[in-house]
Amino acid sequence: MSESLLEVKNVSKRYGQQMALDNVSFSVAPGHITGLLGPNGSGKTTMIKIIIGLLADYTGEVRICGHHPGKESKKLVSYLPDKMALPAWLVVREALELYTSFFADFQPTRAHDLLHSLNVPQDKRISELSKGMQEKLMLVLTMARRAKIYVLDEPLAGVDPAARDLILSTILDNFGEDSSILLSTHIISDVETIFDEVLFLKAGVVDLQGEAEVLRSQHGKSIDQLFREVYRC
Amino acid sequence: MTGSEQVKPNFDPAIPIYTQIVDRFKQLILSGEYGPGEKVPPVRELALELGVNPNTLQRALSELEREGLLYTERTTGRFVTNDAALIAALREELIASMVEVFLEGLGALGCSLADVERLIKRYGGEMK
Amino acid sequence: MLAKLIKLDLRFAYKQFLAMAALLLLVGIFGPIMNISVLKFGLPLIFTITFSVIPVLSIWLVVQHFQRNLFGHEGYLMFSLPVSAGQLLFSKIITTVLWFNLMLFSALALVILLLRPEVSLRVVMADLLTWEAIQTGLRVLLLINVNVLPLILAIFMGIALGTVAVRNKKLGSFWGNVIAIVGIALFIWCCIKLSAWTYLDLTSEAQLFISITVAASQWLNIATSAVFCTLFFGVTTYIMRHRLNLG
Repeated sequence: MSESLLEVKNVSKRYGQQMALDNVSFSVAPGHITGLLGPNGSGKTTMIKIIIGLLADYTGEVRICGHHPGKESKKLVSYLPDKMALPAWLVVREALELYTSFFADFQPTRAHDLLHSLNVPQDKRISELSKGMQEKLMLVLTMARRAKIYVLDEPLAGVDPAARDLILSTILDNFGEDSSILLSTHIISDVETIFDEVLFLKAGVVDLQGEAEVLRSQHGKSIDQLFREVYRC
Repeated sequence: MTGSEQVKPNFDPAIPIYTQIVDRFKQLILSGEYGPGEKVPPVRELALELGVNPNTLQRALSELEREGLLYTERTTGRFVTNDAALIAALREELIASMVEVFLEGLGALGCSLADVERLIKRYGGEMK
Repeated sequence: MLAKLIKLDLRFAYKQFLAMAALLLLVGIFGPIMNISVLKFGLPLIFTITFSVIPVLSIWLVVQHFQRNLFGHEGYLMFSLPVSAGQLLFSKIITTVLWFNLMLFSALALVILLLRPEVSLRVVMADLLTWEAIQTGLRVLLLINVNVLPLILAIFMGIALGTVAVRNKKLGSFWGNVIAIVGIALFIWCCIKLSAWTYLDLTSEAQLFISITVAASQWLNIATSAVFCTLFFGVTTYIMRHRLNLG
């Protein structure tokens, strides 16, 4: 299917005088992993919020499998936010129940197994878990859905290098066939080999975009090196 | 192929990954780690093991198929070729390019062919 | 989906409201024992405190919950669920009505319990459980709900409007509150105008008071409330759908 899972066309978002996003366009094809790269404040989270539907006040067009962000698109998009979105008093087991209840594509047995293999205790409240555990829980909840597109906002931030591999393989091992991933990060070096396409956002503007392999051969550099050049000074 | 406890190979991210995957596969075939007729793990699984993008791996595998080193059987999967002659030819090709690189390198340092022969005898002592 | 949302909303807020209800009941039960009698404070004072403080407090709690759940951190969860803005808001409305009425009944129970030394419970129960009393009670309950709901929805609308101004949050919530108050004032004005319109013969103040609770103006009251509720609902969902600015 050559139809894109996610299409972003000329999206702009203004906060007063400041443009958080300025005429951003890109698309994500089925089965592709796209990297949304940039330092903090470059507009990545803003773009993601628009795709998820947490931000509705923007110009331009966003389509997820043909739908505008809304009730239908939320059935197809699995979102990993950069902060804990679940109430602190919720027990892990109850969080699984919550997701099972609201998301038809959620797979509770898979989630259960993943939590077990990541050593996340299921009887504790979220407030009783360490921050690392909380992040693992959110990741599991996100990846245990058979969604069409997974949008992961900085899944590696605040994760120590030893755990990064584990996080990455949890992501790569669990995303559905023909599903796509949009992963935003400012930590490039450990992850760049997984991207099909990358998009560099600088102060809300697309500075560089294209297939990772093409960029490598064109510039003779790694994506990480390109990143450092784009954001120098 | 050995299990997933294997350490992830380090691909140089400054060069297109897919050519590196192709080269690595060729080496594994030649070294015998991927024996003739042996089954190649499915793309997803292998991509996870190698830490690379599945589509990139797919491209590399297709390239290897184009060169005849791998073949796909519709229902059963992907396999290393049984064609011993092809593998031998690959081996020759790889050896030739390694020798070329070696000689070029030494030549750039000012060695003559006689120098090279002497160096080989001196440092190659352990080889049979 | 709506049922699941309601269940979720109940889960988010039940502890607070059940605790308050329990507290009120406890004060009612132990009050007379601890000598907090009606004679000391006077019935009017007790009534006033109970039926103004408690409703206001419960509205305040409901509004806090609304703000925190939809426009605070929990909004990240609520707005990524596959439900429409209308469903989210409707679920909040239903649980709001539930909690508000729970508090009303708790307040009533408190007063009845406090009156125990003066008026025996048995007598009160006998009086209350007559068909007439129940009918009147339901009518009063309906009247209260019909008139409080637009108020609460106006506040919800004000909160939603306030979030539109992202840069200056304080200014945004100031204007949100202003618009909520304007909405409420408009509603009250409409109610008064319409009820005066149905009773043309203003012979005495008492008659005017009675006419406001009698059939025809009651229907007008309900209709007015419905119109305003729909208006506030519409504006709030519009904002949630097109002007949402979370985080």
